[in-house]
Amino acid sequence: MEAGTAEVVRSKTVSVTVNGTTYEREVDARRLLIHFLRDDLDLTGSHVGCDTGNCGACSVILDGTLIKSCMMLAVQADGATIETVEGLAEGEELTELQKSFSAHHALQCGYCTPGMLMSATALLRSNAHPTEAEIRKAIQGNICRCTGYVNIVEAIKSVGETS
Amino acid sequence: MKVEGEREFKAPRATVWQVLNDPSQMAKTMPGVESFDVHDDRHWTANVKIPLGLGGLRMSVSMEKTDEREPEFAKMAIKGNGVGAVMNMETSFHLSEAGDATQMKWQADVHLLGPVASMGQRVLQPIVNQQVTHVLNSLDKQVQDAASA
Amino acid sequence: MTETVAPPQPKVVEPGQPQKGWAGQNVPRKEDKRLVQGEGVFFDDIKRHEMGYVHFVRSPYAHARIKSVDVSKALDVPGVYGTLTGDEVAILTDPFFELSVPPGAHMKDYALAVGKARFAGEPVAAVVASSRELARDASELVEVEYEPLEPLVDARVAQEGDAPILHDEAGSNVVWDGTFDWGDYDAAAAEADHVVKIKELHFDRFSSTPLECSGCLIEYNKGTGQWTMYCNHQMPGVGAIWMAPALRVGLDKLRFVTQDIGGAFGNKICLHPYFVACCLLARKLNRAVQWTEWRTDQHTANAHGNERWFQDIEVPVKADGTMLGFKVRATDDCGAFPRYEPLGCIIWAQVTPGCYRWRNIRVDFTQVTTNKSPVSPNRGYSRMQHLWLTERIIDIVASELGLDPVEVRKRNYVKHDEFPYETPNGCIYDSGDYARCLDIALELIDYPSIEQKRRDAESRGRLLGVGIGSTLDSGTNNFGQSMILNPDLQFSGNNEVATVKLDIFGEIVVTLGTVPQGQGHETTASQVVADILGCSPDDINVRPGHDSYWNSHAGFSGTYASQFAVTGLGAVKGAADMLAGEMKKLASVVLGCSADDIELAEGQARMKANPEAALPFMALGAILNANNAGLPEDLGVTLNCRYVYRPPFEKPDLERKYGNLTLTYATQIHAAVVEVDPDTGVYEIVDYAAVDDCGKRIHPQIVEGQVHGATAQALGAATHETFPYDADGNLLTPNFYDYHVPHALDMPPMKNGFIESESPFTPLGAKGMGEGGGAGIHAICAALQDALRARGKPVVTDSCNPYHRVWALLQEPEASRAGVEVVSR
Repeated sequence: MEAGTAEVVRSKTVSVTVNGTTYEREVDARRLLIHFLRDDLDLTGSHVGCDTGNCGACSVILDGTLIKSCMMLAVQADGATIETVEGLAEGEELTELQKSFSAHHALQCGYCTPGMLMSATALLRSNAHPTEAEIRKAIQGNICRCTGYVNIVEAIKSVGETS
Repeated sequence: MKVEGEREFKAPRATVWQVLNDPSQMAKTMPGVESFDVHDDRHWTANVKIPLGLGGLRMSVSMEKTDEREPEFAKMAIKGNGVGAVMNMETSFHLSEAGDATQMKWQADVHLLGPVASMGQRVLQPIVNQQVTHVLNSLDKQVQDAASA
Repeated sequence: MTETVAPPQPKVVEPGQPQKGWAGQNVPRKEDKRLVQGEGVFFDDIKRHEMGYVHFVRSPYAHARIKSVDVSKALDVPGVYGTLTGDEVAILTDPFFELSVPPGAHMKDYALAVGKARFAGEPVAAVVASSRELARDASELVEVEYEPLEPLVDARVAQEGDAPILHDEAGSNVVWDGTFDWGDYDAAAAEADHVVKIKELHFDRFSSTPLECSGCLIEYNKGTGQWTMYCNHQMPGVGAIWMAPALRVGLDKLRFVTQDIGGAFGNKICLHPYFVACCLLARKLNRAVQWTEWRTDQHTANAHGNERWFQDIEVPVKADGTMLGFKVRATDDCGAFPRYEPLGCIIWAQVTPGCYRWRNIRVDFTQVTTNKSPVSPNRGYSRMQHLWLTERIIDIVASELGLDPVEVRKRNYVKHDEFPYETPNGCIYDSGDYARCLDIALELIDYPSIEQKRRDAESRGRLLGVGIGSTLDSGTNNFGQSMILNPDLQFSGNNEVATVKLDIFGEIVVTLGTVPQGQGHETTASQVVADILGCSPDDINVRPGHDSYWNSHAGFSGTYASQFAVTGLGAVKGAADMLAGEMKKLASVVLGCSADDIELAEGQARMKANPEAALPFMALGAILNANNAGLPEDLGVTLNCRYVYRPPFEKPDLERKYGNLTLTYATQIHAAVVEVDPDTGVYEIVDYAAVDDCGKRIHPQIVEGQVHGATAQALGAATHETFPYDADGNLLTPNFYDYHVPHALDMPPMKNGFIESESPFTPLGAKGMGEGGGAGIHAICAALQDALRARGKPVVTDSCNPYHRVWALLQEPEASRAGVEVVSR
């Protein structure tokens, strides 16, 4: 097609598998993935904390890679497999990571926690026994204003040490 | 922010003055002009696209000549409005004869407001410099064309 | 005043020491289970069918007259439900209640800009549409004509003759001014061996930028005139006091519902302008409306912490380093609208002498408006700014007179045996041991080894410095201090409410008047109740969040000002005590003995002498509620107890500006070690210690978490976090792209220490402690000044020291020294 004559596509039907369930939805072309997850799929565990992709509150794992879902359009996620915080626990059974966060008081208001958990999950999959420096680097993209990160690092390190 | 400078044009002062005061000629020097309208010899408007960000920043710009002393001095007030950006600018120039050539001293006081101004601070100066260079180069070409005509 | 008992020796708590009872233990937090699964409910998680999304049209000008607002093009867009403009707001609402005396009293504040825009980002109009994206698009079609005015961006010139005036009705930029004069400064100056003069110090603008932005989902019930606001307002009592008269309705028509809040730190107190705009829209459009603040909006148009200039400081000192007092001219920049101000003009007086025994203090205090974002009580509110001043004074005086910064502090600190200590303006510091905390902090950073470390750093081409930051976290306000600013205000004392009930099946249910944002109120409340009722915290159900329709609350209810451990838990204790009394009474009637013979233990009410004669809680609940025939007529038991905790305060002496302004004083003393690269000004914090004393700790892990978090925020404010404006009034750090908050790699290695000097004045011996008092800022400033000593002794005069500022101090130390002078006898 010649430049300038392309038809403007305002919406598209996408198929996305989230936490094992496949959803098919028609979505606005410019809708961000984070809003698709929160508003269209009612998965409100992932959060919005900024406008510029700096805070990491929206972090999810897409096709095995940790991404910031505010930095992707929903239409770009067509056909993808996504994991969010809601998919971590198996029913009533929390993961070791979730239990460790609670035991170490690694959360206060809980707003950054889903993003932190996804970053930590991605880290531990690729590096089961991370050092403190590796942990800090892995969560560098997740802002927390409550904890000062001290207990978050301890919680992740503890899982690495006991697994 | 204030910007100023000097430029020499290899043409008589009357020619330079004529180019600077002809709206249709001036419009050709402005960067990214997509359309322009002359309302009278002191007022005109234009739609411009400034290279800032993806797709450029579109602004509707209105210009008013607020003062002049032919053939040596003129002053303009320029207002621009775009998405997330408001621009207010005052610019003036002073022409003096330098042999066969003309010396132009110019200055501009640029105010940029809105989210674009807040976020774009560190790129603002380079973009302003780039726009100024573009205008002066185009002006030079216009003046040369007029002088050889 | 009840008799006070100073605790004999502060208890140094070692980790792992066995504790009696639930209070004092690290029980698992009740909040965690839902939060780690992403099942918390934050206001933006709530949806209503067909709700409209609100987007605000905002002024790009810091100062401008609004000549016209045309929403017609926006209204033409399909999917746009409606709009709101300043003209409508001016007709439908009255201006918000102002706390100040004139001129501040005459400043008018509405939900949208009326007639004039006074800061860049101020909301001028609102558009509501079927989606977030559409509302944003449509808002770009609203045409506003502005007549730009000159902006005022420097508080120091706000009172000069040619300064632009923001509020024409006030005729002045002054919100409030007054002089505070205690002791006899002139006598102190005459007695001094030296007077150290400091021309100007500047506490910079920043904020705690909670990760969750502000917002609301508001429904209007047309039949009853009731608004229900699902939101994250952290002080609904005060929010309602502003909103109800503005909307011309009774307080009861405003229902605030919060569950989980993603941090607030004082930034979610002044949300009433936005909420009123949304209330008007919900009513006008007869539709639920939803507004979530963008991050850029939070930085530009929500609230900042107070910016303060300290000028013409003079400090009389004796030769042995005893500091006799100080005088200062303070100018507070509160941005475009006062709102919670001018309370900041008095709240610093809770800690007038800081940690020190100064007796002669004079403060000339002026607060002015500027064309910047309004302020709100950001974490540390007003005390942090003043405590930074006292620490800068101590360090600069010590440096100029060649005194040791540790010795001069110990010489001038309030001494352990002087508590309860009355300050020059009548505040009572309840308990503490500052010298002890300082010793622990110095031990944690291995202070004796500092000089060796300094030489070692030098050999690597680095400048090492050590600095101390002492601070107090005053908690539980006496709101009577507001009368010092405006005698016509009818506020004094403080209160908080809790209810505790025993349900039919034996469930214990607690409701709080507070609005938690991560402080673990559900958990600590359950610990206190469990100790009183003789059961476990797992048996206690604390309702998450706050619903003003259902949760009993009082005028000062909310979560702010470092007071929950005192007021919130005081109310919980009171209600639980009442319930325990009723349970024992009911059990005694059923078991045929006297109430004194009954004890509550292991989830039962039983006879002390014969524990087999026991009634489980479920039985008590069932008997009273469902099986109560035959109970005595005068039993007086409901098993549903409400208690209002009221701290013991008197109204202050308005003439002398004198009185007890806060009930408790927690201490934090920090020590920082930095290494500076002299070629670039870049510095690293290589060691850090934070020591906290907040009296009895109900949940030590929660206290430690607060210390960590407050330290991180202080370190951010010390190095990178600042809200600078250019000459046109544009904010240059409008979101996280430019406003750098610490991430995990920015944090220094941190060591923590704790002592517990119990408060003699509080129900549990605990003190509030969440704000922290900015010790990190004081410590970093001190450490940098120490590090740079060898390079011309520059003076650190700003609270925020990014690398380029340190570089400038290294390049031109004389410029910073120009404002410091020592006049000796």
